[in-house]
Amino acid sequence: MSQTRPQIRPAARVAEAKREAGPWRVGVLLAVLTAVLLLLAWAGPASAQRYLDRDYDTDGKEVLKAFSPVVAEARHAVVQLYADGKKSVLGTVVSADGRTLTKASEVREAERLTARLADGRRVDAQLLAEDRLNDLALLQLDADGLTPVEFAEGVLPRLGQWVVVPGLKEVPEAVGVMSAMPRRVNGVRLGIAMGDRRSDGRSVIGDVIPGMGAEAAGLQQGDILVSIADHPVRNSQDVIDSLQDVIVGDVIEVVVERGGEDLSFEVEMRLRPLDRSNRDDRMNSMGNRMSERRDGFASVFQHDATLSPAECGGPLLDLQGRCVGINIARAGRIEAYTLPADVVVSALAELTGEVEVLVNDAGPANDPH
Amino acid sequence: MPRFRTPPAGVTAAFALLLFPAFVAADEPAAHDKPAPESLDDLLAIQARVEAVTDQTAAATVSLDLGFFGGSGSGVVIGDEGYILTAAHVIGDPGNVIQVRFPDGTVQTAETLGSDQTSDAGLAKLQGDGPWPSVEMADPGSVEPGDWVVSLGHPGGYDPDRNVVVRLGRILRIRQLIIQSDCSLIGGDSGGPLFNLDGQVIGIHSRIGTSERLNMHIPIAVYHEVWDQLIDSERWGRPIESGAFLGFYFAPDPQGRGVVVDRVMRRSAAAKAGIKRRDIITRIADQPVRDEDGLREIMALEQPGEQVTVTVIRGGKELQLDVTPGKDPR
Repeated sequence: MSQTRPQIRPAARVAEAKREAGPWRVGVLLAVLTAVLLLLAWAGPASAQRYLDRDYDTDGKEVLKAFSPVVAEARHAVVQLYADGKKSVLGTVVSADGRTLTKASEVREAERLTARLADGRRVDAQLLAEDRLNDLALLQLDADGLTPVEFAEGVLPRLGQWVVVPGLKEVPEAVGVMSAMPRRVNGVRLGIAMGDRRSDGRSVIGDVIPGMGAEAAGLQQGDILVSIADHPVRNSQDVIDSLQDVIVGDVIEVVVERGGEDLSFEVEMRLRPLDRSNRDDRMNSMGNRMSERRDGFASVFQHDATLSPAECGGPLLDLQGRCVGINIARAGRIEAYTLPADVVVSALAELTGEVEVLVNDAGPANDPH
Repeated sequence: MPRFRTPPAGVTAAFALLLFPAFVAADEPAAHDKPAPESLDDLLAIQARVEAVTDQTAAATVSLDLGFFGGSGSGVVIGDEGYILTAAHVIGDPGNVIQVRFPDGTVQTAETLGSDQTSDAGLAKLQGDGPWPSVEMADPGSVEPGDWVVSLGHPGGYDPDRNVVVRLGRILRIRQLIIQSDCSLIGGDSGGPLFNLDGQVIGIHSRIGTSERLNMHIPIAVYHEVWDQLIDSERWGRPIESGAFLGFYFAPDPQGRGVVVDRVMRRSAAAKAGIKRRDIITRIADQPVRDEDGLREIMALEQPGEQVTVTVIRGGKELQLDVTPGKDPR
């Protein structure tokens, strides 16, 4: 190991030189040796002890500066929302007259919503409509002459491309890269812990998780899984495979062997709860709270910017400053989920449609025939 | 400039002379060699490299299924002979047959070979004949703090609906047995590859700590060094104890000099070394303590039983104390 990364100890070498040379030469030798040693140090290996300053991290201050031109325009399409006076999530302005999208589950309960704009104005906001599947809410801000985002329709960032999380400031809140292309994230679970039996490899329920569908249906520890949703189960991979197409709220049939008899249960698929005592959850959230609603999306892509739950609801940009989607959840230590621009645009059309219908139904504008 | 140390003034003249021709000849550094990207062009240049690395390496980044209660991890195929670099704690004993899933869904089998429990380096070999998608190992000693790195893996196991997960980071610190980066990993990333911007493997994911800056990778130099033992299916060493414990509670220093000791735990390493309440800790093991996270990050890489020098300010004076940290009792 020491050969691969030589440790250079100038003091020791200089002491050796002193023994060999007369005092008059020491100064010269010292200078030359030091220069050579420093040259080696400069060249790399001795940097082993160096610790990169935090400002030069991937999303450190010095690195973020380079992204200023990217957010220069788009930050004016970002608003900071306040729910009952408390700082909540970000919002994405989608029309000049104040229509704004945000993360629904974070603002749904608020009795009063306000928004701070990039120009410093503080305005009232009203929730108009909600898309539960995508967790999007359409708000009406009491403001005009705003700069909406420019959606990058039909364009997805490629894997490894920079993605930028603008806030209201001149430098972004966070940056990262595209980690995974759009997919359904389906945190639905039966609510069992299982293991493969050593003797024959069959899957056995080791534990039933409180509050989940399996417990409610009556599955028990020690039950041997026979089939799930008509897929035969021989090992734990089969269990995972059999649940690929299941979404939250589905009720599926689980057949188990108990006491030599096959029993059938109807299990409701629920979202996995966040569990502080669970090691994976703790490791994944470490130091950062995750979004409460972070699962069960029809189509999201994943990036690695350290997005805080409070930074959800705002746009995600590519290096051209275009909005490639809306950040919808912080799902883990490094997992941020974003609704792709195409999904947002069609959700927005539906939400807007709903609002128009509501307005027409309620208003006196409907001429009687 | 975080990249270079400033040489002492006394030797600057000689030094400058030595390097002068090199400086004249050198072009402007590549975007990824700058301390920080300076423009949109720099960002685009880095992006092009990261995309290229992802394209080149994703197919060779595999998921390993251990069966039974072994769980899963990641690995990367290197060279033409089907060797898979992974982490020792992923593969366990030599001579087991494990399932290897390639990103396109293809399943093959591999035999586990040697593992070094100390560094966490592990090796497996694909069975049958190739060719398999593969990448190259970087040379030992080719890594430096500040280098941009790309992390790939199948965190949480293989997911047919998800591609190999890509993350970007920088090298923060290099130790003999550890490369630390800010390329955030999660549990389940173990054994996955860390690449330089040439698409060569420079490390294998090993473990994480409490801060997002604490992502530990096994240096590629370790694999080079113990390659013969790994191929010979030797299993040796003991996991290094990570996380040394000093034994005091602390708060940030309002003046930003470090952290202030709030309370020293009785009979702790700190108490034995004479660390006192209200001491301001400014350096540990030759590294400045910037704040609370900084202290945790430093201690995460120190080992119990190995003495470190702690610099404190007490009553306006600077003191150096030798402390032999203990194990984290939690």
